[in-house]
Formats: sequence, C-alpha cells, structure tokens
Amino acid sequence: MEAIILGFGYCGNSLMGIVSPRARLVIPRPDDCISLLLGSYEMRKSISREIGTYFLTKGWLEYESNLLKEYERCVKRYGSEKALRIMKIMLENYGRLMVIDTGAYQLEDFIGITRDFAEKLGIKHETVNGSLRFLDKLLLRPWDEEFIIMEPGREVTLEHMRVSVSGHEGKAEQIIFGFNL
Amino acid sequence: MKVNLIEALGDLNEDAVMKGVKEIFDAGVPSLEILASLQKGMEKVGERYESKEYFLSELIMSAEIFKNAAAIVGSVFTESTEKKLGTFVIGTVSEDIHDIGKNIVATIMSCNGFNVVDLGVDVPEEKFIEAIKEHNPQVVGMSCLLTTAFDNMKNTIVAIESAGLRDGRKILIGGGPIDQSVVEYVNADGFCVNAQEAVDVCKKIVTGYFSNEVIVLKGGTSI
Repeated sequence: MEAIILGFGYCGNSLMGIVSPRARLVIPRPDDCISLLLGSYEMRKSISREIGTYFLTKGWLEYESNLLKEYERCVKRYGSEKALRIMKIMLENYGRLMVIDTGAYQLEDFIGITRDFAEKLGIKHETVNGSLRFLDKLLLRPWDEEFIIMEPGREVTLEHMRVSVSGHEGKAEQIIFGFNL
Repeated sequence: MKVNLIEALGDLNEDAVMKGVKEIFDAGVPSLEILASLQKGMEKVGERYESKEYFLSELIMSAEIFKNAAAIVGSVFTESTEKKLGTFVIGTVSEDIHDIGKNIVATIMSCNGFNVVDLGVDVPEEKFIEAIKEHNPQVVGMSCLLTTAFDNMKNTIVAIESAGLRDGRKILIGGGPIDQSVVEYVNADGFCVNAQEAVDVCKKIVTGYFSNEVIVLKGGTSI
C-alpha cells in the first residue's frame, strides 16, 4: 500500500499521535473539515472574520453530535425554556448559522430545520457554496505544500502542522494550518 | 446544609442551590465558607464532565447557577476594601469567540481574592498590551478553543515581550486543545486544566515571588 489518504483536518488535536506502521499518511493541512469543504482555511477564516459563524452540513446534522441534537437533549432533560437559555449562552458570540451547500444533497430536505433553529436563537441563517478544490487535490494530487506527508512509523504532532515562513518583524516565524500571512 | 449545597450544585438543582445559599447566608454562615461549598459543587460538576455524564450544556448551567448564587454573597468580594491578592488579566485571543471556560475562570478567580480584568473575546494583541500597562497584572491568562488561534496566541506573547512587558509576570494559557506542546509553541509559562487549578497556581505565583518554590501544574509543566 503506497499511501493512506485522510479526509481530515487536524480537527482540534484529533490527529495527534496518529501513525501508520507501513504506509505513508497524506493529511490535508487545513484545521478541520469546515475548511476542507469550503476549499481552504483562508475561506473559512474570511467568513468567520465577518461575524461569528456556526457551520453545518446535512451530514453533520444527521450523523454527528451537533448543536441541534444537543438542544433536543437539553429540552428532554431540562425543558425548553432552560434549553434555549443554554443555547443562547453557548452561541452568545455567534451571529450566524451557515449551511454549506456541498452539492451532495438537496438543501430543501433539511433547511427548514436549520432556519427554525436560527430564528429561535435570534441569529442570521445563510448558505454558502462548498468547494471541491481541496478534495480534488487530495484524491487526484498534487500533494503539495497544502498537505503533510507522514512517512511510515512517524507520529503526527503539532510540530508537523507548522510551516516556516519568512518572519515579519515582531511576528512569529512559523504558522499553523494556513500559509498566507 | 453544606453537604446539600455541594450536591445540589453538582446535580444542577438551581432552586435548591439558591434556597440553600439564601438560608445559610441569612443564618450568618461566613461568605467564604458558602463560596467554598459552591466551588466544591463546581468540582463535582467538573468530575461529571470528565466522566462524560455532563457535557458543555451542563457546564454552562453550572456556571450560571454559580454566578447567581455567588452574587448573593458576592458583594462581600466585589465591594471588599481588603487588599486583593493580585491582578489577573484574562481574555480569549484574537479570532476566537469562545468564552464559556474563560468566564468560569474569571468568576472563580474574582471570588478568590483576585482583581480580575476580563477583556472578553477576540482580543487583539494591542488590547492585551494596553491592559497589562494599565493594570500591571501578576498573571495574564489567555484562552482559546480553536487550534487556529494558536498563532494569534503566539503573536500576542511575542508582542507582549517586544513591548518589554513580560518580565515580572507569568502567562498562563487554557482551553480545549491546549496542552504542553501548545505551551512550548506559543512560549507561555504553563497551562491550567480548570478554574480551580488557575486559582491555586495564581495564589502560589503571587505569594511565591519571594521564594524559589517551583510550581508543578497538572499538565506537567513547572513554573
């Protein structure tokens, strides 16, 4: 086996310590799957800079723990008034719920639910087109500076996510995840 | 009564906690003692969070209950003319807007004799620097939840050093993805795993300046 491709970002330390004894690991450099689906870390950053944004996809809604499932859990356990109070505190600094349209599903299947939730919380609801740019590269190459290649037996550490860049005066000379200063 | 207060907060029973605190406060139980019970209750919540019985929502609820309950005895601390143990400047770094853990730390630190200056979230380097110049804290706390904020944390510390403001104070960091490798990457002095550790470490820092005591943190760092 030549290589194992991971459709993951660093995802909050989740790749720390991952190692393959025999194959190379090909790991996208961006921070997590939001950036992967948006096409780049820079895209994610520029959206989040406008306003605190909570991202969703159909897959995350259906198959993972997410804010809406958490809200339902709290409603069952603590009642809807307390549950809404908790959600409003949790999202206090967020102004927008953004659904990523990956083209892999029909938005109409679920967007009513996300709109309702945004309205309950008093935050904006928007959609954004996803991008296949990164995933295309991951599957079809080239595995350039946007990827980390781990040789067999090497464990992933935070060190590996660093990129050395020429330093500006007073600024750090290494950055993580993105490589545009 | 004390035992009930700890369990009530651990169970997130807001009504019982508020009733219990009012009763014993009116009965003349010292505020510090009430606060100690509330903090033990928060520790219970922390244990249940670690064991995955509780999640972020429960932490938020516990923080709200603690804040409301502490407010009953709180005027004793906020209006106290007693000399504070020290000053603690805290904020969530630039481009990170998460603050639930940070808020718990700020609340508990202020209930434990510290003058807390909470800079909020998405705090730019310049704001940390202004706050350090204005308040001269013994400890600066930086929080983040996003791994993408590590570089901002690093740059903030570089800026603090370039401004000649690092000497004479410690920089502690905290947050979900923070561990020893992050401490080394950003060049902080150490990290704390929860609010109670922050209190314990900061108390040692402010009293330890005149001794050579080495403070060992839960994460393995030594200050």
